[in-house]
Amino acid sequence: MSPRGYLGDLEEIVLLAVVRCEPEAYGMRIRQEIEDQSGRSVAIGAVYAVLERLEDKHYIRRVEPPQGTNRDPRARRFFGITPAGKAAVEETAALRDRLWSGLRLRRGGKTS
Amino acid sequence: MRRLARLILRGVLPGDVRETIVADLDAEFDRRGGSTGWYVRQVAGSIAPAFVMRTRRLARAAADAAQDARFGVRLLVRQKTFTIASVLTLALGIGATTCIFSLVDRVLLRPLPYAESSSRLLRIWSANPRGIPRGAIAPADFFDWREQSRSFESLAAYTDTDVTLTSAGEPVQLPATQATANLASTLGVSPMIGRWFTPAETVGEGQLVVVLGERLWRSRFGGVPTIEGRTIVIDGIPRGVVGVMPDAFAFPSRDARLWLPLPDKWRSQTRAARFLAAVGRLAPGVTLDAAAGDLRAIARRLESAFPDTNRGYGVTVASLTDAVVGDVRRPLLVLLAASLAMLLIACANVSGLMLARGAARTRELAIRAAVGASASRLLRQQFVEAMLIAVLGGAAAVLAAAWGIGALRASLTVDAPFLDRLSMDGRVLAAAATITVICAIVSGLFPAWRASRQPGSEALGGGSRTTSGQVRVRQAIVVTQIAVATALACGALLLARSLERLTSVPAGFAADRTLLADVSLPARRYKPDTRAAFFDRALDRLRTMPDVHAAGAGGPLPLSGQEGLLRFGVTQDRRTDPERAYVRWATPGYFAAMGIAQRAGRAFSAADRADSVPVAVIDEELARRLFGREDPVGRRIQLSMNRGVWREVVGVVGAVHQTSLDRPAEPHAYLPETQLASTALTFVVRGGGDPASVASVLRRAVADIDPELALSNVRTLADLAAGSTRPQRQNTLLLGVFATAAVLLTLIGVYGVIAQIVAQSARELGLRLALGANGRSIVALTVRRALVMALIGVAAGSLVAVLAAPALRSMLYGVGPRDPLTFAIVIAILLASAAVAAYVPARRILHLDVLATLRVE
Repeated sequence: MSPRGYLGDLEEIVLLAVVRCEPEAYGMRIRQEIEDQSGRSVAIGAVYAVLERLEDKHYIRRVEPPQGTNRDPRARRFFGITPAGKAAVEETAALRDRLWSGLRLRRGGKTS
Repeated sequence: MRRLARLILRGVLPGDVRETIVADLDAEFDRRGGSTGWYVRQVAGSIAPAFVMRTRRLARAAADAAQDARFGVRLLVRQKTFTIASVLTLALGIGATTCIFSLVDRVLLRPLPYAESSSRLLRIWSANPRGIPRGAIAPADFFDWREQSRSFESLAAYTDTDVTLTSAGEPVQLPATQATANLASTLGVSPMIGRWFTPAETVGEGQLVVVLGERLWRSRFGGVPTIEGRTIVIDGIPRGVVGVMPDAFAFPSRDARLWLPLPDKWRSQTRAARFLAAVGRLAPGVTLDAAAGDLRAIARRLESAFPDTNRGYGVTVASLTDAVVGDVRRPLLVLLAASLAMLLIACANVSGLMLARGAARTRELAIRAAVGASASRLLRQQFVEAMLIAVLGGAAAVLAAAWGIGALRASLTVDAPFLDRLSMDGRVLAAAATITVICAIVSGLFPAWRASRQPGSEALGGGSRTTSGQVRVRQAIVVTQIAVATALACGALLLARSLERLTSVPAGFAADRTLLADVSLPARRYKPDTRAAFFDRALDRLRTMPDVHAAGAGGPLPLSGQEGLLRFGVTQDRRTDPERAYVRWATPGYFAAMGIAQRAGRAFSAADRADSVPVAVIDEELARRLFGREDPVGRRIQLSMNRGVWREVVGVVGAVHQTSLDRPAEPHAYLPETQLASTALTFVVRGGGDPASVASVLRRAVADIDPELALSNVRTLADLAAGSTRPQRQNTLLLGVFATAAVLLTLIGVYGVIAQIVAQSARELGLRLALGANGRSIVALTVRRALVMALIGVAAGSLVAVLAAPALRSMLYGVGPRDPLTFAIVIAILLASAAVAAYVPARRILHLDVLATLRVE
């Protein structure tokens, strides 16, 4: 819980995955998205733990499920990014840019 | 495999996300076409995050609770009156309950401090054919039981006696116990120093040995470890100390200071002399009933073998615990119930206060709900506040109870063992903590739930008006309080009326301005003629004191509890069937000193000597039973303890109560001390001014005559008489205190609810007053509302009291458990005081500022 709002690794990945999945951003869908993009397997529990942390930090919030989804108590929880979440992603990306700028190591295009 | 994995996952996940995640995983599993390996890997990878989620929840709950507590504390500090009233009310209830619990725990719940298998310890009595089930046992009977019974691992006998100790300081008379060699092992207690008697030491007359109690050893012999083997002088005879028993032993009572061997040769005494008590330890696997059957079979054999002495005599068996605490169980449980009832009323009062406060806080709660506090969060916060109050109340209660327990220990003389070890220990503290938590739940949960449901838009707009539902709830609470208070007050008043009846029973003697002191003349040094000379000299000295109206010696005294059940058959000269009577000793002057009335004939005089005509004085009860309407004076009687000696009845005196005031006066026969020596007598001195100065004159007189004699048990006759009703006084006092507190708390509750009704309907009432309604009739209407509540409560409470009263029956004397007058008094008092409690706040209606109340909206 970085006071300045910088995101941890997995936090950033999950937060971006939420954005990519919206409005269908729920636990298993987000997990699948991360797996698809990174090629590495993530446990569903880990995704939920991070989602909770992000929710506590007010970077994401629960949103109404899309039309036609049933509402039993076991129902999926859908998430959407908040303005604070957007700011945090941008802040983190900007930090990376600042840190990378001028470094020779930098190979084109790999900023994520 | 997948099922096991799912089970594990369900186990580790926090409840609120469990179903969602498992359902999600299962759906994906189905979509993928079922790879178990993938499923298991998912579960394995989720275990650690699951614990992370759980930790988060814990931290969040703790932070919430801390916040609630901080908020609660701020609120309690701000609302001082509310806080103090609630805390004090709860402290009263919890404190009283804790005190009584400590008593119940000490006396009823803890095992006796004997062997770990104390459940197998039994107390055994001879059952008397005259309907006395718990009588003393003849030594020969006891030894026969012990030899023939197969149900006991060991069977021990003992008897109380008084001895004079002349070693290591002033002569002192001490309560002692003569016991068989197996008493200590039967109870499973080992000496702290040395040993108990061996069987060889009880053979014949018994060896000259003694076992000291820890208290005597410490007080008289400085607790020296070398006490074993030392010789001390008891009743003028040197005896060797063989051991010291720990204080916890204290058998058969707290009074026992030393133990002597019970001589085997007592077996040769007549079976008609019954004076032993017995305890036994059951053999493994034998039940109490089986052991009782075994002993009764032996008793039947003894009946046919010794019909003269044993006809009709059976055996009574009870667990030692029952025998020791049986009499106090009922009163203690009644007191516990009373304290719990008071606690309930206290909780109800706090509950009412919280409801009223909840009403005043409606707006605050609505705002909090509007900015996102969930109902459960609000409920929890309210509950934390209730808990805070209860904990403060509990803490105050522990302080109060520590004081109360000290006071109980100092003042209670309940006939129960181990009371002097009454203390605020871990168990009592744990009980206080438990009671506190229960109080928080009882007093806080309902108002909390009520308050958490309140928030709504109408509350936001509507100011701090209470809903009528809330008043209904408070009314229901007050009705319950009145019901409980009614039942409690009925019980307390029943006990008080019973005590009044009991203390107004004439005891048969005059208790005022009379001093008592026991003396015991060692049989080895005092023969009948020297005994008479001793009493003559001592009493003459006393009679020369200014203001002494009468002085005598005699005993055992009525209501003293000494030799309570030792009775003998008395026959008269023209009839053979005996009446049983207490046989008592008296010197000249005894009846006058005791204030026992002379009904006919004369009292004993100096002319009744050992060599003169044997005489007796009987009381009117024995006279009635033996002689009916005939004049007993000049007739002759014979006592079973003194067969072959016909005594002339020279006088008839008034009847006295021997065992207790609540039993009818029993028949007595008095013998002159000169003609039949007694082991111990009591000096009785009437008048003479200050008891302490009379006592010192008496002490000096005795010391002048025989420096080795000790006086003991110096007290007044009034103390003795009061002592016989002390348990009833204590029960009445404690129950009275509880009932008074309960009634007062209830009246506060009535006051509170009427005050709230008035405050709540101030606008409506103001409007009606403004429109010209009569203020007085509105006040009357409001008081009538309170009276309706009180009537319902009183009716319900009376019903409870009628149903529960039989539980009090054994504690009552001269008044029925459903005594209508008692109920009527309680009902009248409660209705009248409820009306007053309602009138005080209702009167405010008359002083309502009509315009101000209208302007509020």
